[in-house]
Amino acid sequence: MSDPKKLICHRCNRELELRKVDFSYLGHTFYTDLPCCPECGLVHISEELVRNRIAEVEMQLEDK
Amino acid sequence: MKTHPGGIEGTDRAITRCTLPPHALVLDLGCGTGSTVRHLRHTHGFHAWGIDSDPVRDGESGGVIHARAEQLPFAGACADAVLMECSFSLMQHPGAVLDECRRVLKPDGILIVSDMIARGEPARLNGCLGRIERQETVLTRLERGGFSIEDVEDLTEDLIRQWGQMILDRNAERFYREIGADAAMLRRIRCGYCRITSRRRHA
Amino acid sequence: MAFLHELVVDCLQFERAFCTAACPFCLDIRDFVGKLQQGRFNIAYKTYQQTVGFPGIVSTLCPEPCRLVCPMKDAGGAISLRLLERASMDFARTRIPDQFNMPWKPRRIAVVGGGISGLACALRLATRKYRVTVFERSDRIGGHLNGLIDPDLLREEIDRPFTHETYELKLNTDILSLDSLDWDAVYVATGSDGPDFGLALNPDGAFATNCPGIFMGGSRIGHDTVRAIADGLNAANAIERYLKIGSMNQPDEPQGTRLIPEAIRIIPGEAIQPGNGGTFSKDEAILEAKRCLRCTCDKCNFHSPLMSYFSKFPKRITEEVEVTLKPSSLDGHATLATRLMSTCMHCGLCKQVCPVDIDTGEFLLASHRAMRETGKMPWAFHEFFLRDMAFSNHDAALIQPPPKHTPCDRLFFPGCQLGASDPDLVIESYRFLLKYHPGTALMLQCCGAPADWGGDDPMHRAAIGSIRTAWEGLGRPTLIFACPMCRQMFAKYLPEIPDEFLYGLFEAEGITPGIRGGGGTVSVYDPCASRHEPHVQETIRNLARKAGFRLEPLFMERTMAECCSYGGHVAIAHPPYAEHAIRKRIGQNDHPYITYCSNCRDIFEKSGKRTYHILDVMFGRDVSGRVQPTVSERQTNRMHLKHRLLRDFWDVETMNAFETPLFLSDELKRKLDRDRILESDLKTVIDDCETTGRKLFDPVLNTFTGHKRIGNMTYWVEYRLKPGGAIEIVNGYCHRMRIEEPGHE
Repeated sequence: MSDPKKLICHRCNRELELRKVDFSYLGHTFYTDLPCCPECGLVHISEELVRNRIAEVEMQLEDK
Repeated sequence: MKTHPGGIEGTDRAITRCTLPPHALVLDLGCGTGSTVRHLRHTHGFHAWGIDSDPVRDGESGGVIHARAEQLPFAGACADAVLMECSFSLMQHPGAVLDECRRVLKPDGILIVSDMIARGEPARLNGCLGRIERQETVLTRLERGGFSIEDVEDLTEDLIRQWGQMILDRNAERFYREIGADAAMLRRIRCGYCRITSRRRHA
Repeated sequence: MAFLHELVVDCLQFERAFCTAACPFCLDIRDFVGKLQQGRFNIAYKTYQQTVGFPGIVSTLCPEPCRLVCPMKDAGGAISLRLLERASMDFARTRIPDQFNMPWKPRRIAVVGGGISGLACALRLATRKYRVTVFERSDRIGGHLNGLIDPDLLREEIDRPFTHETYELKLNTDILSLDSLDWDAVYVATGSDGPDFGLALNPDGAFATNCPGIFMGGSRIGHDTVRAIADGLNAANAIERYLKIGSMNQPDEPQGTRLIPEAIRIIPGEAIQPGNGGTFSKDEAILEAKRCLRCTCDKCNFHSPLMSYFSKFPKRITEEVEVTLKPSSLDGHATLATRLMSTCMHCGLCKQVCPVDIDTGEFLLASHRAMRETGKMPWAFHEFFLRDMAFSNHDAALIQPPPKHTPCDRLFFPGCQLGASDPDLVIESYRFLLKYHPGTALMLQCCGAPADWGGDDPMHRAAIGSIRTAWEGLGRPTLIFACPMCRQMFAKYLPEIPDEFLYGLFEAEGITPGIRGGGGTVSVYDPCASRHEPHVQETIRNLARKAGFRLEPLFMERTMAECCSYGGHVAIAHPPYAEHAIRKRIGQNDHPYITYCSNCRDIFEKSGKRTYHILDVMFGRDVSGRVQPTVSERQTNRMHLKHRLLRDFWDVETMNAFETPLFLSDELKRKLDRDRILESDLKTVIDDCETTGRKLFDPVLNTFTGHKRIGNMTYWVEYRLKPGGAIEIVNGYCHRMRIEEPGHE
């Protein structure tokens, strides 16, 4: 999981680090490693991730 | 897929429900590395043996016998339970395998088949999944093979969850390659997963 | 919910073709001809042989009752089935039947009479491995056929089907009494002049007599040669049933058909004549087979966009919906049909074309509702439009009595989407109404369609209830509609409200349309909701003609009107399907369309088809440079409309709160529109970021990124803060998966 952007949490002034993040949709839960603020946990999801893998999982679940 | 839908906990649940005697003889056909076999030995104290025609040697393959499921190196009426997890659909001669299961099982022995099933169109894939049949087809096979169905557990939800996780883990493409089907084909098949517990019928 | 399940019993999809129903053998001609169409003569022959027993004899003697009922008989000539049967024999790889290795069955059957009927019975029973003995009083088999067909040929045609089968033949054996026969069953087929042993037919069972185990058929019971053969085969079935269950009181399978000629789409084509004057060549046979319509009822599948796109018939749809709603142990938690339920446009065309009035659309609507109640329907398919409806019914809603305290006798209900599309059309319409009917009140509100389609019963009931209350509060005026969809919704859920269309008032007042068509050709595109509104359909045509347009009819119009793809809000659940439907709708001809539903207009214009709303024509509006509003603009349009109406007609100034200092590129606006992301939602996210400080900073691009869940959807926005408090939105996207963030939301 490489995010080309160097993002900084505005509140904590910390650079984001990869952390395990949980998702849920239609009664199922999943996890993946995403850049998060090490202090407050604020997460970043890139549009690329949304358009590819997240959209595909959403479709799979809707069609189950 | 690394683990079967339902996981080893699911296998435990199914086995426990059958109330096998202590030190029961349990065979795992198509056992791969034999991790389930070792688990059954350590956790339940069963005399568990794995059978695989193409055993995976991972350095710790204790309890795995190299044999074909159509010709098991066991005496008749000796086994308390036979498991086939994700392997029945790969057997070339399902009828012969069931005959052999009948032979080695004790009169009231248990046969547990867990497999991918088709909720849409059945298919035969070349990859690591083999036949994906409608659930009713698998049930008929078992019944014709001399087993009465005791329980059918639907694990589709778990399969779907694993599937979604695989996509998130960027493993979906490799999975499609391994099973020899693409996303569109899988949508037509509408895969589900179930565990069928059956009991050997008398004569 | 059971109603379609019962109705689908009437479905004609699996009814026999007319020819099959007329055939003494009930030959599955759809199947047989289908094989010939593909040039598969061998397999076609097998089907024929297994059905008729003695192909050589039947194809020679059959009087072809099928020709009399063939729908092609007046469209180039009935299909020449006898010649096709002949061709299957001529071009089959072999005429020897297949050999099946089956064990003998320990039952013995006597056949009295070695004529063709008795032999047919013997053939079928022998094929099924029963022990059969045929008694013939003369010295040869074949009975009366010996006088009709060359004896050598006859012998060959009789023997061939028996190639792998054996039966015992006793020639020169006159049976005087059946009592002397000790058999499990007997078939009496002694011919027209043969003895009947005093037997009488038992009407309760096929070929049954009043004597247990004894059956009778063929010319003995007055049937012609071909029927006699069929009798023998069918009697064998009856005998087998008797041997298995011990009862003779089993009627033959009913042979008719409920198929009706109206269900068939006839494609005329001249009958193929055999080049050699007698029999078909392979190519000729295939051509003739291809003329066959293989009659079946596929009206719904042909017309319904849903059924044709997914190749599904009502029966299959009900089955899939059933397992989705009531997961059985076999299908587990399958939600097979959720997307299908959300893909119906609810245009009613399936019921319109169905000869037995099966309403698959209504079934899907009810299923959708039931599914939503279980909580298993993916919310994403309808959430956007349900939120849009909530917006129409709250922020953008307006109920005003007629201006200047005039007593109220009418209520204009323009519908939410007309104002979203073009506020001017609502304002001009209301101005016109007030001019002729000053007692017209106004109501800006959604008719409830999104909740109806989305299966959200509580929301739908609330919307309908609030409309009823408002209407009663205004003194039960007559409603004036601009949108046929609103009218349809009212007719269904508020039938007590009297109503009329705005367009009829233009006609009644003799208004001259503002646009001059100058003889240009257009087509009127009837919205699907106008299907049962012949009056308004005619009015629109009259107005268009009056504007000077020449009208070119569309193939699918009036009662056959098709949905533009807006219905059911299917574009979210199945974007490619909606696209497919739009392309078909706008591809009917190259002329501009005139329609009277703003959704049809907006959807077609967006896809590049010049489409006028009839109100554009009436008010003489130049639409040449019109740009379709984005989803965000459709909301601000509604707010502006409310603001302007109040100001212009009631002298009320409202705060126009929709002046947001947001800057977006046109490209981003188009992208957000495509993804149905509202700029106001992104603004909500930004407000949240700015208030809480929960935002990420990108020092390279100098942008902030933040996210927030609104409804069920999570929105992401990338933005820059400009000097002076303005905000530049750089990017926006959304997802349906929910981020599990402990301690937040």
